Amino acid sequence: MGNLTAYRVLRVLALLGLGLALAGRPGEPAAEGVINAEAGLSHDNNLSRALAGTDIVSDTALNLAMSGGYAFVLGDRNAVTMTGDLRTAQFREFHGMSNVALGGSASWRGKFGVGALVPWTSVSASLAGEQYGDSIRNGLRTNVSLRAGKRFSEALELSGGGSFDRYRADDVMEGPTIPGVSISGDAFSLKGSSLFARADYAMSERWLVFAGISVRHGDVTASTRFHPETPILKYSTAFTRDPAFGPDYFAYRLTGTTWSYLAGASLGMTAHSSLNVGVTRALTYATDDFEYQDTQVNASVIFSY
Amino acid sequence: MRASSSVIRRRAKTHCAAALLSIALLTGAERALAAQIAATVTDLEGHPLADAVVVAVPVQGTPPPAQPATREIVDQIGQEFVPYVKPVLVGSAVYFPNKDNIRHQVYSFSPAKQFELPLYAGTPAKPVVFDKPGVVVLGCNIHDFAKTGAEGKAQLFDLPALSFQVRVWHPRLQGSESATRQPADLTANARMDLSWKLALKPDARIRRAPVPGSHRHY
Repeated sequence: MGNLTAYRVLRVLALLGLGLALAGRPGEPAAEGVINAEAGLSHDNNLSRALAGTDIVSDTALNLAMSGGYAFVLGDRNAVTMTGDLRTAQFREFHGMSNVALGGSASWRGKFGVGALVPWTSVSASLAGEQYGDSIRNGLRTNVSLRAGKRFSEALELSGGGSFDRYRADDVMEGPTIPGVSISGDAFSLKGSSLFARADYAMSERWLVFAGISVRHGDVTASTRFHPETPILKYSTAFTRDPAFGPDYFAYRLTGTTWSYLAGASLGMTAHSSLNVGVTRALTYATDDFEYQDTQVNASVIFSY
Repeated sequence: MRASSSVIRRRAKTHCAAALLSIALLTGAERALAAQIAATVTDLEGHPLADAVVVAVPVQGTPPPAQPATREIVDQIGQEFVPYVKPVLVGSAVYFPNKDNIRHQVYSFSPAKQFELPLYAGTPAKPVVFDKPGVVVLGCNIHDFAKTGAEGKAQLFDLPALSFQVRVWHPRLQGSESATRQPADLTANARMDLSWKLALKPDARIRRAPVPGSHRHY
C-alpha cells in the first residue's frame, strides 16, 4: 500500500475511532457492537474485462471480509453505524489480482415514521486502501451512496438509490511510447456514478431470494494483449502495461455504461448467519460498440452480530 | 377464569428456550376440588408448538372472580422481546425493561392497545396498562426483524368442576380461533388431556439472518 493511501486510510480510521470514543461517553447507553464476517468463493469468467475471446481470462477467488464497529441509535427513527473494514480476495491463478483492502465505513439510516413498513432512507460512505499482488493497481477507493426503500410486507422489501465511486491509483505509470500518440498511463484510476434497484423476498422462514439491477456510467478498465489493428488507443483515455495477466497484457481505460443484473438466494442458518449464492451478469457498452461481458458467481457464508 | 385476556405478541425475535408454556388461567375458589386440563398443541406434522395460548371458558355457571391486575414484564434482550407471546389479564400493567446495551423503542398499532414508548434505556418509570381484550402486536422501530419460536405445551390448573369450551390461539393460526374449540367436562380432582393439531400460516416475522448486500439491522 502506498504511503499516500496508507496515510489517508489511517486518518479515516483515527477519525472513526475518535467518533466512537466520543459517542460512547460515560452516562449514556453505550453503542452496540457490530461485527460482520463473510467467507466465500467467487468465479469470474472475464476477470480481465477483455473484449476479445483470446484475451479473456477467468479465475476463482477465495474472499474473506470482516468489519467491526458500533451502531448508535440517535432517536426513535434513525441510527448511525461506523465500522472498520478489512477484506481480501485471493485468486487461484492470477495472483496479481489478489488484494487486501483496509478502510472504514459510516452510514446513517432513518425511517419516515414508526413501524416496520414505513419507508426508510440511508446515506453511507466508505473509504479503503487497496493493495494488490501487482502493485501497479494499488490505490484508494471511495464510495458515497444514497438509498431509499420500503418494506411492503414482512416478506417483501424494495429499495433503490444512487452512488458515486472513485478509485485513485497510487502510482501513475508512464503512458506508452508510441509515435504520434499521447495518452495517460493512469489506466487504473476510475470514477463513475450508478443507479440501482433491488428486491428482497422471503419465501419462507429461512429462504430469501433477491434480485437487483444497476446501471453505472463512468470509467472502466479492460485488459488486452495489444493488437495494433484494434482502435483501442483511439478511444482509450489511459493506457499502460498490466502484468497481472501476463507480460504481454496492457490495461486501458474507457468511458462506458455498465448494466448489471443480480440474482441470488440466502438460506438463514441462524438468526446471525446465512448461506448465500448469487450470480451477477454485467454488460458494459463503451465507446464505438466496444462491448464487454462478464459473469460472476459466488457463494458465501455470512455471520452478523 | 379469564375469558378476557390480552395477548402480547412481539415482532422482534425471541431466544426463549422454554419448552413448556404454563398458563394458569383460573384460580378456583375451591382448590381442593380443582381439576386440570393438560393441553398439547402441535402443527399438522405433529411437531409441538411454542407460543400457543390455551383458553378455557365455562359453558355455564359463574366464572370465579377475576384476579387483580398483575404487574407483568416483557423484556428486551438481544434486540428481541422475551417471551415471544405473553398472555396477560385485562387491566394488567406491563413493564418493558430494556436489558440491552443500546436504546430501544416500543410501539403497537393494534386496536386492543395503541401506544409508543419513546427511545429509552433501562426500565421506563410507567408501565403500559392493557385495558382491552385482544391481540396486541408489538414492535421496536429500531429493530424490525423477527425470529421463530420452538415448541410447547400448556397446562390449565385449578379449574372448577364445570363444563368448559377450550380453544387455542397461536400467532400463526390458520383459520379462526373458534374452530379450535373442544368441550371439556371436568370433574373434581380429575385431569383431562386435550390435544390440537393446528394448520399454520407461514411465519410473518421479518427475517433477521444476514443477507448479502443488504443492510438489515440499522
